Parts: sequence; structure tokens; C-alpha cells
Amino acid sequence: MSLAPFASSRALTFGVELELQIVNGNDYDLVGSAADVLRVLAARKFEGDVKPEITASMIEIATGICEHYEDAVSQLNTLRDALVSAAEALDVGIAGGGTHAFQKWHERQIFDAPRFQQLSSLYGYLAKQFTIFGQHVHIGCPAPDEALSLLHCLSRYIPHFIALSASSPFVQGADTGFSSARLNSVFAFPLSGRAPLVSNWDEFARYFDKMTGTGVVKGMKDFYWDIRPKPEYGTIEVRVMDTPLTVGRAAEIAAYIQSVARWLMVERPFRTVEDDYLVYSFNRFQACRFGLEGVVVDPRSHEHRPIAEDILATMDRIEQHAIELRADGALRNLREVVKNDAGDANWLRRLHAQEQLLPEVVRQQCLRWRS
Amino acid sequence: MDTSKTLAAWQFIADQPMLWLALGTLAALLAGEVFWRVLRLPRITGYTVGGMLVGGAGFGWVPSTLTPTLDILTDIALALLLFELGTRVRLHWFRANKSLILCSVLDCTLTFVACALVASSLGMKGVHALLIGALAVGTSPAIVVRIAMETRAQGQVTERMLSLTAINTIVSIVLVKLIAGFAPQDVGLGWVRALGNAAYLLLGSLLAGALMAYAFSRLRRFANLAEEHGVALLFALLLVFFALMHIAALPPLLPPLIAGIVLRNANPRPLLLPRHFGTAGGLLVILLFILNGVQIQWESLFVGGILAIALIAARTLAKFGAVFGSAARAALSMRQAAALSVTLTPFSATALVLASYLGLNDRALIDPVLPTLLAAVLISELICPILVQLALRHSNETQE
Repeated sequence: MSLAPFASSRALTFGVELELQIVNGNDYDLVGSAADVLRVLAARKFEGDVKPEITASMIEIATGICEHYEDAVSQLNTLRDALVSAAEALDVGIAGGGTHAFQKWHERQIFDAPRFQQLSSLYGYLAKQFTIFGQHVHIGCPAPDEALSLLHCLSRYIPHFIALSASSPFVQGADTGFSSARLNSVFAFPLSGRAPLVSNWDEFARYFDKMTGTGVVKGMKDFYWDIRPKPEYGTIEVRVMDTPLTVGRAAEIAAYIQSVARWLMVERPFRTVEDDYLVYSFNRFQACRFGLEGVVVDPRSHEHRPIAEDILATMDRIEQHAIELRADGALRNLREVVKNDAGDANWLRRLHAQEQLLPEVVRQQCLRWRS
Repeated sequence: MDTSKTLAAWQFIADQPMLWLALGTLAALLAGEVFWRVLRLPRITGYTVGGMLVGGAGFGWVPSTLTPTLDILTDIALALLLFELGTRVRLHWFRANKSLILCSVLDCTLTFVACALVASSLGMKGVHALLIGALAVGTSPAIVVRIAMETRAQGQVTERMLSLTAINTIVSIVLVKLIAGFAPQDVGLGWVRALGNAAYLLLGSLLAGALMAYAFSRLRRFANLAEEHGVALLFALLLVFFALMHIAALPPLLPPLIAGIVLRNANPRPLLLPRHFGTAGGLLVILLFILNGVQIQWESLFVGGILAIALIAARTLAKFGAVFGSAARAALSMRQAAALSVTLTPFSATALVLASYLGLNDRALIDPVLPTLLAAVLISELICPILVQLALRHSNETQE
């Protein structure tokens, strides 16, 4: 299969996808009820995009094309309400969060669809370990070369997106010490990491052909990159975020990415060179491990600074772009989160310290998702 | 060795009830493992069959002196299972999904009417036909809870099976008590007494259940119920309530069930109890199934067999009718609806316990229906665990 041509889309439009957990109302473990939820939604003639995911206790919602932050807020609210009401009829809970706090990966069932069964037979336990829940944000790009340029420029801000969304401190019943432990499951895949630094679409197409020629990959979907182009949509897709605990936070993060992207597209403050990637993995690790308290290294100045500080500085720099996009309200909210270190991972940890019972944490996660 | 000595030795061994009890239990447990590992069938079927072979083969290995003690043990096991069943009922769900209420109402009504009609058309007299109908309403809590736990099933079919079973068990007990009050010799003051009896049963059970739930919730704050010492406390508390119910002449069925429901619904915090209250409870539950097997009387098949089979057929139709009658709005697929109907078919041995409590004061009421009841329970105990397990497995809800 050769690379699909890059469809043009309106610059800086965006879309949000959220992978969500389905838990039972009994002990709040994951439950394989995706098919039930989809059936209820289908019977209600519900408009909107809800899809199954690789294991039967995951479900994905996706907005249409959004221009502004408010579009995302209203679309996500509609999707959430529909999902919550379907879940109520089934006595299951829907929750955000990058991981389920105490599920056992080996108990997961692969959703009954050919692609998922195929992935499962290739990746074995990695596929079941992939019961993790991410937020993906698509950013519209008018042309493929600009998409690639944006992709690599945005790479430098990956730690921001990770730290702002981090909501997966618990894995398999234990506190990992990470703010986002979810990404550790992604790194296990052989084709994870970053996209190769190429400057134009033809070069990218050649890289893609070489890779498909080796037989290692069949399509774009086989690359588990942090940011990858989606030629069919004419977008690049930022994939490093945990699903936040609320749709509100998800929309705010999407608005922040959109604002950074506008700044990068309009002002072109720098061009990415290969050496910028020297610190990429280290920075990303810091964000996963310590969240907003992590330290990132500037690839050019070699300055070390806390991620929280780096985010606030970036927000100052892009303020005008946020205002143009009507995303300034979203950024104001995120500033508060950064200043108070009030991210979702901390919320989960505090709750666990108080309740001392992970199923109760998941229950309150479900309540928070409804708010 | 001369014959008389051999006989004496044999007599000596035959007179050791503990030995026979132990050997019988061992045999039944081994049968359970064979069923589970080799045939992939429920262990409890193995226990029942094992118990049946040893008991029914006429070895008489359970001496009559031990029977009352064993009855108490199985009653405790049943109380335990009912409590666990109660903790799986979310009243909130019935409010959120009205089709569940419809399903429950249809389930109880159709089963009661269908079974009473069948019984009366096959020659049961009025009150006895009604009694059969009432006893037939309930699904076996022991079978559904045990299978759900053994296969660690979860999902739509499992949760609905448990909730519907809890409701039909309550309805069955109340109906039976009402009808027993109307027994022929009570004509005249009949309905006053009947209502009085039922009210005592219901209010007493509600009160006892609520008290029990309150005690459990206090205990929960005091000890970690997921640990051994916590479980022991929990178990002791259950025994206290069990003894109190004995004294109050309340069948030990409703209060634990209600306690479970109250405990579950009064506090949203997830209730994580160890299965069957830990090993001790697990042992009692296993014993319950073995003794059910032992007490099976084959003769009942000849006396009550025909009516029992007709009854089971009518009851199965009623359960299917109830589930499919409400399935359109119930957010169930057809496949799930069929599976759910099947899981509701186990005829409840709880009915036997209930009947034996009634029989204490009124043999004339119970004796005519007993053979049918025994036969229905016998057939159900042999076949239904397998059906329930298959239904849950086909719904992809088991984690075996």
C-alpha cells in the first residue's frame, strides 16, 4: 500500500479523539461492554462518532472538525452526555484517565474485529497491555510540507502536552511514581517514538515506501509515533496525551495545541534540525515521570528549566495567537492548573491518599467524568 | 480370619459416621475437580453428582444424628450466598433502566401464573397449585451466585441475572408466606392472619436486614474486610444474626438478602468482600452443594416427575417470555436475551428450605407439593448449573 495523497484541510482547524474506560458498577474494574454501549447508542439514533478500540473495555469518541475552543467544548459535551446516558442504562461507568488504576492486563479481551485480532496475534501481550487511554488532537494543515514542518516544530512542545494531560499514575494496582505511566506502554512498540526528520512530502513518501518495502509496515497506522501525519484528513495528529479526567480539560489542551500551532505556522520562530532531537527522549521522560514538576532542556541554549515555567513562558509568547483563535479562555484555565500544580495525576494521587481504595478512586473518576 | 470377626470389623467401620462423612466429602470434591478440569463443567455439578452417588447409593453415610447440624451448616451457606447476591443489586440501575422493572414484573407474574395453571391442570388442588406457583417464581440464588463467582463472570447478562434473581427470590418468599396464610384450615380469619404473617415476615426481615447491614457497615470502618481477621469478624457477625433469626422463627433467607441490598445501596463506596467470606464460607458453600446431592431422593422423580417436568417447561417459557417481552427496550441483544433467559431457569432449592420452614407448622400444606418440588429441584440441580455456565460463556462474560 502506498502513501495516501495528503488531503488539504483548513489550516488550524482541529479535531479531538478521546479513548475512554468502561468499568463495571460493582468493583469498578474494566468490563468488556463496548459492544453494549455501541448498541444502545445505535438504537438511540445518536449522531456522533463513537468507535470500538482494541480491547472490549475501551471506547473512543471523536469530534468533527472544530474551528474554535467552544466548538470542541460543545461537541465533547454532547458526546459525553450521550455516552453517560447509555452507560447508565447498562449500569456501567465511563471514566477518563490514561490508565485504569488496577485492571489486570491479562484479563482483557481483544475486541471482536479483524484488525484488532490481527494486531493481537502480531504483538501478543503488548496488545493487551495497550489497554491505555489517550487523547489525540488533529491539527489541520493546508499542504503536506507545512504539515511536516509543523510536526517537527511541535515536537519540542511534547513535554507540555504530556504534563498538562498526565492522568495515569496508577498501573496494575500500584503507584508507578510517574505522572503519565501510560506512555511507557506505547514505548514498548517497535515503531514508537518520533517521525524521521524529513523536510518535504516527497522525501517522506520515499521513506514510507522503503519501510513498506521491508514488509515491516503496511500503512500509517502501523507507526506509533508521538506525532504522525494523517494524509487522509490533511492533518497531523498529536498522540502523546493521556485522556484527561474531564472533557473540559481535553478541550483546553486541544486549544493550547492549536494556539502553539498557530504561532509556529504564522511566525515560524525556528526551523527544526536533527540536533533538536538530542534532548527529545530525555524531555519526554521528564514530563512522563514528574509531570509539571519535570525539567526540560532547551536543545539550543541547553538551559534546564521546569516544565511548568516553560509552559507559562510559552503561553505568554503565544497569547496574541490564542486571542485570535478565541482560545484565551482555555489558556487562562490551564495557567491556573500549571500554577497550582493541579493536574489530574495529582488529583488522583490525593484522592487515593484520602480513600486508600483504588476502586473508590475509579468510582470518583466516573463521577468527575460526568461533571 | 473367621467370618464373624470380619463382620464385626466391618460393622465397626460402618459405625464410624465421621469417617464416612469425610470420605463422602472427599469423593464429592474430587468429582467436582473432574467435572471442572476434564469436562469444563461447573464444579458444583460435580459436587452434587458426587454427593448424590454416595448418598443415593444407599450407603447412608450421613447418620441421622448429624442431619440437624448439617442442615444448619447448609442454611448458613445459603444465607451467605443470599447476602452476596444482595450486594450485587444496584437499585439505582432499576431507576435508570425501567425495562428492568418491567422484566422483573413480567418474570414474577408470568412464572407464578404459568406454574400455578400447570399445577392445577395436572390435578393439584387450589392452594397447593398456588403454592407451587409461588415457589417456582424464584431462581436459585445458590446456583447463579456460585457460577458467577466461579467463572468470575461480569457483564450485562451476569449483572441482570443476579439482580433479577434477587428480586424474584424476595417475591417468591413473600408470595409463599401469603399463600401459606390462606391455607384451608384458616378460612374465616384467613386473610387477616395471612396478611399478618406476611407482614411479620416482611417487616421482621427488613428490620433484621437493615440491622445487619448497619452492623456490617460499622465493622467495615473498624476492620479491613479484605484481610483474614476482618473476614473472621464478618463471619462471626453473620453467625450471630443467623442465630437471632433462628430464635425469631424467621426463615434465614430474606434478612441476609436484604442486608446485602441495603449495604450495597446505602453507601456508594465499592464493597470488596472476599468471595463467600473467605475459605470458611467457601467450604460451607461447597458443603451445601454436596449435601444437596446427598439429600436427593430418586423416588421423588417417580412421584413428582411428570408434574415437575411440566412445571419446568412452563417456567422456562415464562422466563423467556419475561426477558424477550422486555428486551426491545432493555438494551440487550437477542443473543444476550436468550442467555439471560437460560440463566433464570434454575429452580430454587431455596424453595425447599422455605417449604421445610412452613412444614414445621403445617404438614398438610407442604406434603402434597413436596414430591413435585423435590423432583423439580433435583432435575434443576443436575442440569441448570451447566446451562447457566454455558449461557455466560456464550455471552463472553466469563473469565475462565
